[in-house]
Amino acid sequence: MANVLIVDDSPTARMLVRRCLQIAGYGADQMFEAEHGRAALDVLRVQSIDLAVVDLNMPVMDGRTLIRFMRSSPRHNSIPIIVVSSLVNDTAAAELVAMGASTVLKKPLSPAAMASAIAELQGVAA
Amino acid sequence: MNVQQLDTRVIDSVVTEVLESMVFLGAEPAGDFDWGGGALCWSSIDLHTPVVGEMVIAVQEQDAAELFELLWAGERAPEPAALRALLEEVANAIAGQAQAQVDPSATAGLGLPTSGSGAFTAQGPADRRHSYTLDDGKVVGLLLRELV
Repeated sequence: MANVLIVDDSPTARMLVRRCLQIAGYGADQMFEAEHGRAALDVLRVQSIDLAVVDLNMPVMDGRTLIRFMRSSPRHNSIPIIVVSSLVNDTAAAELVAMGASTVLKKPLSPAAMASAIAELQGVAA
Repeated sequence: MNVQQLDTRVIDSVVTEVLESMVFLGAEPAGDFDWGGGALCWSSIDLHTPVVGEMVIAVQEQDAAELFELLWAGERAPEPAALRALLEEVANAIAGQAQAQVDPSATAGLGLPTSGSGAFTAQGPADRRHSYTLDDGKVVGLLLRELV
Protein backbone atom coordinates (compact mmCIF):
# COMPACT_ATOMS: atom_id res chain seq x y z
CA MET A 1 0.00 0.00 0.00
CA ALA A 2 1.36 3.37 -0.89
CA ASN A 3 0.82 6.93 -1.92
CA VAL A 4 1.68 7.54 -5.56
CA LEU A 5 2.39 10.88 -7.20
CA ILE A 6 1.77 11.04 -10.97
CA VAL A 7 3.39 14.02 -12.68
CA ASP A 8 2.44 14.73 -16.29
CA ASP A 9 0.98 17.75 -18.05
CA SER A 10 -1.36 15.55 -20.07
CA PRO A 11 -4.57 14.42 -18.33
CA THR A 12 -4.71 11.54 -20.79
CA ALA A 13 -1.24 10.39 -19.81
CA ARG A 14 -2.05 10.69 -16.11
CA MET A 15 -5.14 8.54 -16.59
CA LEU A 16 -3.11 5.92 -18.49
CA VAL A 17 -0.55 5.77 -15.67
CA ARG A 18 -3.35 5.45 -13.12
CA ARG A 19 -4.95 2.60 -15.04
CA CYS A 20 -1.64 0.83 -15.56
CA LEU A 21 -0.90 1.03 -11.83
CA GLN A 22 -4.32 -0.40 -11.06
CA ILE A 23 -4.09 -3.19 -13.66
CA ALA A 24 -0.57 -3.97 -12.49
CA GLY A 25 -2.05 -4.60 -9.08
CA TYR A 26 -0.25 -1.78 -7.37
CA GLY A 27 -2.54 -1.03 -4.45
CA ALA A 28 -2.17 2.65 -3.86
CA ASP A 29 -3.80 4.25 -0.84
CA GLN A 30 -4.01 7.47 -2.76
CA MET A 31 -2.93 8.72 -6.14
CA PHE A 32 -1.95 12.36 -6.29
CA GLU A 33 -1.60 14.15 -9.59
CA ALA A 34 0.43 17.15 -10.66
CA GLU A 35 0.62 18.74 -14.09
CA HIS A 36 4.27 19.80 -13.87
CA GLY A 37 7.30 19.58 -11.63
CA ARG A 38 6.54 22.71 -9.66
CA ALA A 39 3.07 21.45 -8.77
CA ALA A 40 4.63 18.12 -7.80
CA LEU A 41 6.91 19.88 -5.31
CA ASP A 42 3.80 21.43 -3.75
CA VAL A 43 2.35 17.93 -3.27
CA LEU A 44 5.63 16.57 -1.91
CA ARG A 45 5.72 19.36 0.66
CA VAL A 46 2.47 18.26 2.31
CA GLN A 47 2.09 14.56 1.49
CA SER A 48 4.10 11.47 2.25
CA ILE A 49 4.80 9.92 -1.16
CA ASP A 50 6.08 6.37 -1.69
CA LEU A 51 6.42 6.35 -5.48
CA ALA A 52 6.63 9.09 -8.10
CA VAL A 53 5.81 8.49 -11.77
CA VAL A 54 7.26 11.39 -13.73
CA ASP A 55 7.05 12.62 -17.32
CA LEU A 56 9.96 14.59 -18.79
CA ASN A 57 8.54 17.08 -21.24
CA MET A 58 6.36 19.45 -19.19
CA PRO A 59 5.85 23.20 -18.94
CA VAL A 60 6.86 25.31 -15.90
CA MET A 61 9.23 22.66 -14.49
CA ASP A 62 10.27 19.64 -16.53
CA GLY A 63 10.86 16.13 -15.25
CA ARG A 64 14.66 16.34 -15.20
CA THR A 65 14.53 19.39 -12.95
CA LEU A 66 12.01 17.72 -10.66
CA ILE A 67 14.27 14.67 -10.33
CA ARG A 68 17.22 16.92 -9.43
CA PHE A 69 15.12 18.70 -6.78
CA MET A 70 13.94 15.41 -5.30
CA ARG A 71 17.39 13.83 -5.24
CA SER A 72 18.85 16.90 -3.57
CA SER A 73 16.25 16.84 -0.80
CA PRO A 74 17.02 14.77 2.33
CA ARG A 75 13.30 14.19 2.78
CA HIS A 76 12.58 13.02 -0.77
CA ASN A 77 15.83 11.57 -2.07
CA SER A 78 14.85 7.97 -1.35
CA ILE A 79 11.47 8.05 -3.10
CA PRO A 80 11.55 5.68 -6.11
CA ILE A 81 11.03 7.59 -9.35
CA ILE A 82 9.69 5.93 -12.49
CA VAL A 83 10.22 8.13 -15.52
CA VAL A 84 7.63 7.64 -18.25
CA SER A 85 8.42 9.45 -21.47
CA SER A 86 8.20 9.14 -25.20
CA LEU A 87 11.71 10.62 -25.41
CA VAL A 88 13.45 7.47 -24.30
CA ASN A 89 16.34 5.68 -25.93
CA ASP A 90 19.35 3.95 -24.38
CA THR A 91 21.28 7.18 -24.05
CA ALA A 92 18.45 9.05 -22.41
CA ALA A 93 17.67 6.16 -20.06
CA ALA A 94 21.28 5.96 -18.88
CA GLU A 95 21.40 9.71 -18.37
CA LEU A 96 18.16 9.69 -16.37
CA VAL A 97 19.27 6.82 -14.16
CA ALA A 98 22.55 8.62 -13.51
CA MET A 99 20.52 11.67 -12.57
CA GLY A 100 18.47 9.73 -10.05
CA ALA A 101 15.60 8.02 -11.83
CA SER A 102 14.98 4.53 -10.48
CA THR A 103 13.80 3.20 -13.82
CA VAL A 104 12.71 4.55 -17.18
CA LEU A 105 9.69 3.45 -19.22
CA LYS A 106 8.61 4.36 -22.73
CA LYS A 107 5.30 5.99 -23.65
CA PRO A 108 2.71 4.80 -24.35
CA LEU A 109 2.85 2.88 -21.13
CA SER A 110 1.63 -0.72 -20.79
CA PRO A 111 0.43 -2.42 -17.59
CA ALA A 112 3.04 -5.16 -18.12
CA ALA A 113 5.87 -2.65 -18.27
CA MET A 114 4.59 -0.91 -15.15
CA ALA A 115 4.21 -4.21 -13.27
CA SER A 116 7.73 -5.25 -14.23
CA ALA A 117 9.18 -1.91 -13.16
CA ILE A 118 7.44 -2.04 -9.79
CA ALA A 119 8.51 -5.64 -9.20
CA GLU A 120 12.07 -4.60 -9.93
CA LEU A 121 11.82 -1.66 -7.52
CA GLN A 122 10.34 -3.83 -4.81
CA GLY A 123 13.12 -6.35 -5.35
CA VAL A 124 15.68 -3.63 -4.93
CA ALA A 125 13.92 -2.35 -1.82
CA ALA A 126 13.60 -5.83 -0.26
CA MET B 1 18.55 16.18 -39.55
CA ASN B 2 15.81 17.73 -41.61
CA VAL B 3 12.30 16.35 -41.19
CA GLN B 4 12.28 15.42 -44.87
CA GLN B 5 15.01 12.87 -44.13
CA LEU B 6 12.98 11.04 -41.48
CA ASP B 7 12.64 7.43 -42.61
CA THR B 8 9.06 6.46 -43.46
CA ARG B 9 9.64 3.02 -41.91
CA VAL B 10 10.41 4.67 -38.56
CA ILE B 11 7.25 6.78 -38.75
CA ASP B 12 5.07 3.85 -39.76
CA SER B 13 6.31 1.55 -37.02
CA VAL B 14 6.00 4.20 -34.32
CA VAL B 15 2.53 5.33 -35.39
CA THR B 16 1.16 1.80 -35.49
CA GLU B 17 2.68 0.93 -32.10
CA VAL B 18 1.42 4.08 -30.41
CA LEU B 19 -2.10 3.88 -31.82
CA GLU B 20 -2.41 0.23 -30.88
CA SER B 21 -1.23 0.92 -27.34
CA MET B 22 -3.35 4.01 -26.79
CA VAL B 23 -6.64 3.33 -28.54
CA PHE B 24 -6.39 -0.46 -28.80
CA LEU B 25 -6.81 -0.55 -32.59
CA GLY B 26 -4.43 -1.86 -35.21
CA ALA B 27 -3.28 0.64 -37.82
CA GLU B 28 -1.98 0.24 -41.35
CA PRO B 29 -0.12 2.86 -43.37
CA ALA B 30 -2.88 3.15 -45.95
CA GLY B 31 -5.86 5.26 -46.86
CA ASP B 32 -6.21 8.86 -47.86
CA PHE B 33 -6.67 11.50 -45.20
CA ASP B 34 -8.49 14.62 -46.37
CA TRP B 35 -6.65 17.53 -44.75
CA GLY B 36 -8.91 20.07 -46.35
CA GLY B 37 -12.26 18.47 -45.76
CA GLY B 38 -14.53 18.70 -42.76
CA ALA B 39 -13.92 19.59 -39.16
CA LEU B 40 -10.67 18.20 -37.88
CA CYS B 41 -9.18 17.73 -34.45
CA TRP B 42 -5.42 18.11 -34.68
CA SER B 43 -2.28 18.42 -32.61
CA SER B 44 1.06 19.85 -33.64
CA ILE B 45 4.45 19.37 -32.02
CA ASP B 46 7.85 20.82 -32.87
CA LEU B 47 10.73 18.40 -33.37
CA HIS B 48 13.97 19.77 -31.88
CA THR B 49 16.62 17.01 -31.87
CA PRO B 50 17.84 15.00 -33.71
CA VAL B 51 15.15 15.67 -36.32
CA VAL B 52 14.20 19.31 -36.82
CA GLY B 53 10.73 20.25 -38.05
CA GLU B 54 7.10 19.93 -37.11
CA MET B 55 4.71 17.01 -36.91
CA VAL B 56 0.93 17.34 -37.06
CA ILE B 57 -1.52 14.54 -36.38
CA ALA B 58 -5.21 14.89 -37.21
CA VAL B 59 -8.49 13.01 -37.27
CA GLN B 60 -12.06 13.96 -38.06
CA GLU B 61 -13.70 15.45 -34.95
CA GLN B 62 -16.31 12.69 -34.83
CA ASP B 63 -13.57 10.07 -35.03
CA ALA B 64 -11.68 11.84 -32.23
CA ALA B 65 -14.77 11.60 -30.04
CA GLU B 66 -15.09 7.87 -30.72
CA LEU B 67 -11.40 7.23 -30.03
CA PHE B 68 -11.78 9.20 -26.82
CA GLU B 69 -14.65 6.93 -25.75
CA LEU B 70 -12.50 3.87 -26.44
CA LEU B 71 -9.75 5.20 -24.21
CA TRP B 72 -11.72 6.72 -21.36
CA ALA B 73 -14.61 4.22 -21.34
CA GLY B 74 -17.10 6.79 -20.13
CA GLU B 75 -14.91 8.02 -17.28
CA ARG B 76 -14.70 11.48 -18.80
CA ALA B 77 -16.97 13.47 -21.13
CA PRO B 78 -15.67 13.93 -24.69
CA GLU B 79 -15.49 17.71 -24.49
CA PRO B 80 -13.51 19.56 -27.16
CA ALA B 81 -10.62 20.36 -24.81
CA ALA B 82 -10.42 16.73 -23.72
CA LEU B 83 -10.36 15.53 -27.34
CA ARG B 84 -7.50 17.90 -28.08
CA ALA B 85 -5.65 16.68 -24.98
CA LEU B 86 -5.90 13.13 -26.30
CA LEU B 87 -4.53 14.17 -29.69
CA GLU B 88 -1.70 16.06 -27.94
CA GLU B 89 -0.71 12.94 -26.04
CA VAL B 90 -0.80 10.83 -29.21
CA ALA B 91 1.33 13.43 -31.03
CA ASN B 92 3.76 13.60 -28.12
CA ALA B 93 4.14 9.81 -27.99
CA ILE B 94 4.65 9.45 -31.75
CA ALA B 95 7.07 12.35 -32.08
CA GLY B 96 9.06 11.34 -29.01
CA GLN B 97 9.43 7.72 -30.04
CA ALA B 98 10.40 8.69 -33.57
CA GLN B 99 13.04 11.10 -32.26
CA ALA B 100 14.38 8.49 -29.85
CA GLN B 101 14.65 5.87 -32.60
CA VAL B 102 16.31 8.02 -35.24
CA ASP B 103 19.53 8.24 -33.26
CA PRO B 104 19.65 6.04 -30.15
CA SER B 105 22.86 7.73 -29.06
CA ALA B 106 21.36 11.23 -29.09
CA THR B 107 19.28 12.94 -26.44
CA ALA B 108 15.96 13.47 -28.16
CA GLY B 109 14.15 16.78 -27.89
CA LEU B 110 10.61 17.98 -28.53
CA GLY B 111 8.54 21.09 -28.01
CA LEU B 112 5.27 21.02 -26.14
CA PRO B 113 2.26 19.91 -28.18
CA THR B 114 -0.41 22.38 -29.20
CA SER B 115 -3.81 21.51 -30.60
CA GLY B 116 -6.87 22.86 -32.29
CA SER B 117 -10.06 21.95 -34.03
CA GLY B 118 -11.74 22.95 -37.25
CA ALA B 119 -10.02 23.37 -40.57
CA PHE B 120 -6.30 22.78 -40.89
CA THR B 121 -5.08 24.79 -43.84
CA ALA B 122 -1.37 25.42 -43.43
CA GLN B 123 0.05 23.15 -46.10
CA GLY B 124 2.94 23.65 -48.42
CA PRO B 125 4.27 21.71 -51.38
CA ALA B 126 7.09 20.26 -49.26
CA ASP B 127 4.77 18.84 -46.62
CA ARG B 128 5.01 15.08 -46.22
CA ARG B 129 1.57 13.58 -45.76
CA HIS B 130 0.95 10.11 -44.34
CA SER B 131 -2.33 8.31 -43.66
CA TYR B 132 -3.11 5.39 -41.38
CA THR B 133 -6.29 3.35 -41.44
CA LEU B 134 -7.42 1.87 -38.15
CA ASP B 135 -9.10 -1.51 -37.78
CA ASP B 136 -12.50 0.17 -37.55
CA GLY B 137 -11.99 2.23 -40.72
CA LYS B 138 -11.10 5.58 -39.18
CA VAL B 139 -8.27 7.38 -40.93
CA VAL B 140 -5.53 9.24 -39.09
CA GLY B 141 -3.49 11.86 -40.91
CA LEU B 142 0.11 12.69 -40.13
CA LEU B 143 1.94 15.62 -41.65
CA LEU B 144 5.65 16.44 -41.43
CA ARG B 145 7.00 19.81 -42.47
CA GLU B 146 9.96 22.08 -42.15
CA LEU B 147 9.74 24.97 -39.73
CA VAL B 148 11.90 27.31 -41.77
